[in-house]
Amino acid sequence: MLNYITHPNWMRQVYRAVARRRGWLVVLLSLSLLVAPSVRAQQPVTIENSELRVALSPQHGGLVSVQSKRREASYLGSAPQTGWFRIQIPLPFWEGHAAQSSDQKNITVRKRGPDTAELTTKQLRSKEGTYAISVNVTLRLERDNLVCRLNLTNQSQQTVDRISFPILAVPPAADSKEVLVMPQTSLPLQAAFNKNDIRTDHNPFALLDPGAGWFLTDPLITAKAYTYPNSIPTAWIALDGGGKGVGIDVRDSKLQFQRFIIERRLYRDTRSAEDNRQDYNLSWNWYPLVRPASSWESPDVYIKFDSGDWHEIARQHREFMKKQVSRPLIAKTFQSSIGWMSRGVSNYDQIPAIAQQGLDVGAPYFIVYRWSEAGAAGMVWGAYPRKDLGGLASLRTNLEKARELGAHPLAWFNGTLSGDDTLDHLAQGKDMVSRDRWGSGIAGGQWTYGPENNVWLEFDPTGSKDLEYDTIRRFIEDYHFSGFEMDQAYKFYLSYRDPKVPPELAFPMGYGDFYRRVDELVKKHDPDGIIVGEGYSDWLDQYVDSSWVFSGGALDVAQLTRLRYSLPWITVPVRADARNPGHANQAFMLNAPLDIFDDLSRYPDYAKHLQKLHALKKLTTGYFYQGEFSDVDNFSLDGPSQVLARSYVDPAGKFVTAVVVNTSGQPQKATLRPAGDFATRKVRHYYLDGRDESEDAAGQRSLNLQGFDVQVLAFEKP
Amino acid sequence: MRTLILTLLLAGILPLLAADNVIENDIVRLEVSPQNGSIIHLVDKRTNTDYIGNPAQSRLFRLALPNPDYTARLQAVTRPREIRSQEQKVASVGVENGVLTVRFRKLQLAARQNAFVETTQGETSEAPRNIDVTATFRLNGSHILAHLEVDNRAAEQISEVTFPWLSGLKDTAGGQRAKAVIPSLAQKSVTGVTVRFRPGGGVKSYPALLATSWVNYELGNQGVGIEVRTAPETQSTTVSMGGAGGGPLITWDFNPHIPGQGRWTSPDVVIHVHNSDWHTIAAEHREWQRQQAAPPRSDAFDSAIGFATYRLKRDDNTVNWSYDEIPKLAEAAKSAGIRKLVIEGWREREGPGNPSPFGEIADPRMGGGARLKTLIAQMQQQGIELVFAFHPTLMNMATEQSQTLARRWVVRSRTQGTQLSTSYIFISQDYPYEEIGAHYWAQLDPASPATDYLLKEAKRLKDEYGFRNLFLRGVGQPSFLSYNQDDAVPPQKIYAVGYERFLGGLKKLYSDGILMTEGYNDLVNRWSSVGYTWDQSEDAEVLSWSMPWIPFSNDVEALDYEKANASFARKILINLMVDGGDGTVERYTDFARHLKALQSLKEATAPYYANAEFRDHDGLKKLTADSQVIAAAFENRSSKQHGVVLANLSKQKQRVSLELDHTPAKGRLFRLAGESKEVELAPQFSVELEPREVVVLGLDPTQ
Repeated sequence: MLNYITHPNWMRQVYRAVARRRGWLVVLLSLSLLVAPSVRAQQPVTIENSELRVALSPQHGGLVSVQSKRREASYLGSAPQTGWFRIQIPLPFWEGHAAQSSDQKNITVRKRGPDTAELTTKQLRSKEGTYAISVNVTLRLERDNLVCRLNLTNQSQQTVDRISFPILAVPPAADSKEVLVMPQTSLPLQAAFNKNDIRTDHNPFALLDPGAGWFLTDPLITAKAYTYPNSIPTAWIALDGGGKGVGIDVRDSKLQFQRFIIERRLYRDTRSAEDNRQDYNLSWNWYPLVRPASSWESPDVYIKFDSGDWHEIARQHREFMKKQVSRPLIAKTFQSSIGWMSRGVSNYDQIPAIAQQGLDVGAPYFIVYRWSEAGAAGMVWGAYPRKDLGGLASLRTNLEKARELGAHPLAWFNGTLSGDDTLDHLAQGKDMVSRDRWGSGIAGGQWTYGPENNVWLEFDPTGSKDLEYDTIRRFIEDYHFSGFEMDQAYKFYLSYRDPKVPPELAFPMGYGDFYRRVDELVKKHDPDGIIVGEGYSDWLDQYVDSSWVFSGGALDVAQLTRLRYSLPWITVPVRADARNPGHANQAFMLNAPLDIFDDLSRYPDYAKHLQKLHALKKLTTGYFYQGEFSDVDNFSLDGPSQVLARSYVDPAGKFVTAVVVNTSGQPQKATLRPAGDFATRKVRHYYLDGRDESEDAAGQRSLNLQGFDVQVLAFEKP
Repeated sequence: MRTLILTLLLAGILPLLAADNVIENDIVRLEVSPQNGSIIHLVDKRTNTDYIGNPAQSRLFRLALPNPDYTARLQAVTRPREIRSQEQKVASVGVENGVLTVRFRKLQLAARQNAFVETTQGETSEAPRNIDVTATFRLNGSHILAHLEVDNRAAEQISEVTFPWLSGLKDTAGGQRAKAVIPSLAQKSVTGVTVRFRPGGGVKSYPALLATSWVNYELGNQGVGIEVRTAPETQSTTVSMGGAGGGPLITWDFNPHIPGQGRWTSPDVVIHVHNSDWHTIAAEHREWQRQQAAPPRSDAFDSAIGFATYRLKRDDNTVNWSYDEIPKLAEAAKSAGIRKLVIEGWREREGPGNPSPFGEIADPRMGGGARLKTLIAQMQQQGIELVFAFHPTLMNMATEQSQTLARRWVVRSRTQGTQLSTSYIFISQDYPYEEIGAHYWAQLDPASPATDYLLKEAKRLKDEYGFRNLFLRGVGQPSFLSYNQDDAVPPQKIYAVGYERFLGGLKKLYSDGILMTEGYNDLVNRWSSVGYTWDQSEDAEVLSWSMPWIPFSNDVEALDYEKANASFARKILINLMVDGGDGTVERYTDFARHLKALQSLKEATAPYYANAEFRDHDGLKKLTADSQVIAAAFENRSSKQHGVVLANLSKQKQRVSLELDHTPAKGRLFRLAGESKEVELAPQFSVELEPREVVVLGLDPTQ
């Protein structure tokens, strides 16, 4: 087999070209023999520590091999590397014009120490010319991570507008079961890409068919992109499979817009599709505008070579991020609640009764839908009380009544869009919307299909934040809502609207300011008022008391476990299933607020179960909010599959709490074994019937769970 | 006690009265509710099947009366402002002269509701509207001829009429799950629960996504369908196989925009109750179209298996090939027997940076317009036709021109908003779409002055660059209602009227050339030479069977023998597209040879295949073949010759045997390797296919 790695780029091209014509094989071999001695003379630059040995190309510093000493595993196989970076230098006629590191002839590769190296180049070359842009890449080893950082200084006449760094090619797993794991999802890659066919654009008829819903993914398209923090909620990914994992853990504290791209590279055989081969090229992409005479530096990017257990990279990334982000002071009442009600009203007089229904089960928050004159696209311009539901006076009176009952009514609100058919948009909104790099607005929405599918444009919060703040002020001060739900709060775009605002920072700057101000406003008028925002990320959840999910959110324990393990300080709701107390138990275990859409008067048994859960939550609130969700860290559970447990660990080590739930209606037995010194600690044992018992330390505990039971065991320091 | 007696009396009398709400013959029985007119029973007496499985969910019609803040269509926040038949009381129902007539007087608007969150209901405050509706049904064998008449004596406009509304449909019969089959350019066979989270999820637009106007709901080998004998103005069908929002349904949705004090009668609607699958309704509609609209037949690809697509430049303006490399690309295609090339990415700017529709400019860096003209002429002399992409459907809203022209030139919604383009989808991880998909494009309104500009541009392309053929990007995909107030055309006729002018104009301008539309339907096919239809491999026979006049295409990647052969068998053109247009077939010599052999086979069998119409399995009996073999029959209507194509999709040899209706004693077998021979057909024809072989059996009429 041809070794693509140890030969220079020009030779690889010759190999590829010649390999297409098998008749030229003899020529190829002869050529290889002639050149091989000179190639061998340039040995790879090797750095190593106790965990890893990394070999770099002496020509351009690209990765040649990575080996784990402890695991005796090699990670890169024969996947051809294209070098560490790609710098996009747009030209007037070619915005995709770029310089790729593997095409540079003048990169100096230096070993700086046993476990550090450096790549430098004074200028970048492309097909169009040479540019006075210097690039420095530093590499160092830290445990099983290769830590890299790029520094770029632009002395050219062009503006750099995109930097792909790092770039890493990874082979498929030996068992062909590789999975791309991210905090919010996991993607089995063999099914994600077609084995032979390639398409470079979407099939327009698939787009036309509304049966596809709001989402479309096409396995014929060879690259998939995930933006941070919009679709990747915190910046780590891992490609796991065959007992090995290659992860990227990005240590950015600016919370800037980033994009991760996985490209499946197909090596098509010339005769049979069954003989095609493939690998994956991973890249992390940055979008600063590095203008002439300015510079840019990436944060540290940790490339982790491990056993393929996502917990490892999730843990190390969260330990970094928790020091970078701020956390909201979550309302006390919300902490002990079991969630909120979601209901539309056809008359404002219905508000107190619905609020009371929530209060009765421990869900004192109530998101009021349909209260506003305008729908989502026009809410910034038309979030006014509806006359047909009773008008302003009735809204205010009924919100006050609900609050007097002890409830906290929240306004459903979308402040992210400007419908382009409104006069307000034409007068003001058009100047407040995000602009893409070509200068156009960014379309959002697609709420329906057919002839009334207006274009809605995405606000740039650096332009719209004051308008949005004024709207929220009206909700709180004039209408007397206790807070609000921010629909589509997860959205986060590059915006080139204001030349003074870096495009990658427009959203954190704009919404950061907006949320800080509205949080103060909300808490001033109702200390237990809350803001819930759609989506979840380390960025968004700095500002909201809880995430919110469209239509309530699915209970996917595996997905929520990974997400919460990555971001243990956030809460993510699930839609209540009034026919299933076991579902509510699992939500409790995950500290997931229940989004209750059902009329609970129709489900009295479920309502009673929620009351019990609420009572238990009130007793145990501190463990959920002072502790951090830790999956099954620090304990093990033996029991039937109907019994599940998750732990909450105090970062200061004061307690580990295990929340054990029975998802079935039948009694179940299980054995809980605390790990390490927790086995020597006394336990406070909380039961669903309200009991709270102190128990002696023990290496294992036998648990008897009634049907749909929940028990909380706190292993505390004395 | 009196109440009890009265109830018993009524219970005895009502069924007698109910006879007026039924029409039936030997085949079909139709019963409507005497209370609200809903179609509560639709029975095929031959199989004793009542297609209405849940009469509680049955309906008859729906009218939409939007106002500026309250939509006609289902949206995320509010359901449409509408009148639903099931909430009305019939004024009269009766049968006279074999016609079942259901009349409604003064209709009540539905209560306003939220679409995705339950709303606690209060009293509706809307007064009844002075609108009369009359539905009539007449039986003709297994057909129910239906009409709806709306007499709008209210002040408001009725924008949309849904009729007929067949819902509460039975979802299983004899252990078989129901499916709906539609002549769609996307999913043609709809099974399982319809995605409901996106409002309007089951709506299929016509003439756009839906190529022609029928929909069939089938339970095994029986079914009920709606055929609408209509002009190709903007309409839709709604298909749902059930889910959270209710049981299965099929409807037809007209957009007549009936003004206050106006009347409207639906076109002929035929409800088919049949003992077969979709082929029956599709064939009847096909023949109605043939008779009624006399659709022109395109012979542009009678002697070609298809075309190849090359993308000279990517959306980020990275150049794959300059103009001077086009001859090299042509050589590669020729090695696969392909002599027609679709050229994408030829413009100075591609992607979101193109100032569409003002950016159909040749790229001086790639060779310039003059060079292009020379090359086109040279290629033509060598028998190579170049079909250049032309972009007449979108306006780039980032351009300066859009600031002044957009208001007049683009499709506008009822509230004068800009219509979201067909190319947009909210969320996709597919790259680079994920990065550029939210760029703001507006749909050009073909009834606007944009058409005059586009025709001038098309002429300039011909004169200045020597273009001989056009690939009309996006044409055939949108069929929006446009409420652009600068148009004097009703919203539902924008595309019918606009394309008459635009496509009719192009047809004159490029009278000797190929007009390739990126869509395929009753409207654009009037002027189109060929539909560029991406991937039609799933349930491919539906379109081939329904609309045999204009060819359409399947993308075929290098080494995809299966798709190439399957396309040939269904008479779908091969669009050879290597690496999504970024590569050539040059490296894949065996595959190129295979395509070239298919091309030769097509040339050799013209009267039996190329000049004939696809007839699926018509006339084929006792077909014995592996599932990896496709058999298809063809009929040459003028010469009365027939053909049978047998395509082996597998890498193994396959034996096929079959019998034919009206069998001539002998036929001629054309093999992929090039030889042909006379073969015996009676009593049975049998042949062994080589791996990946395609053969054509030619049948001449019996003397």
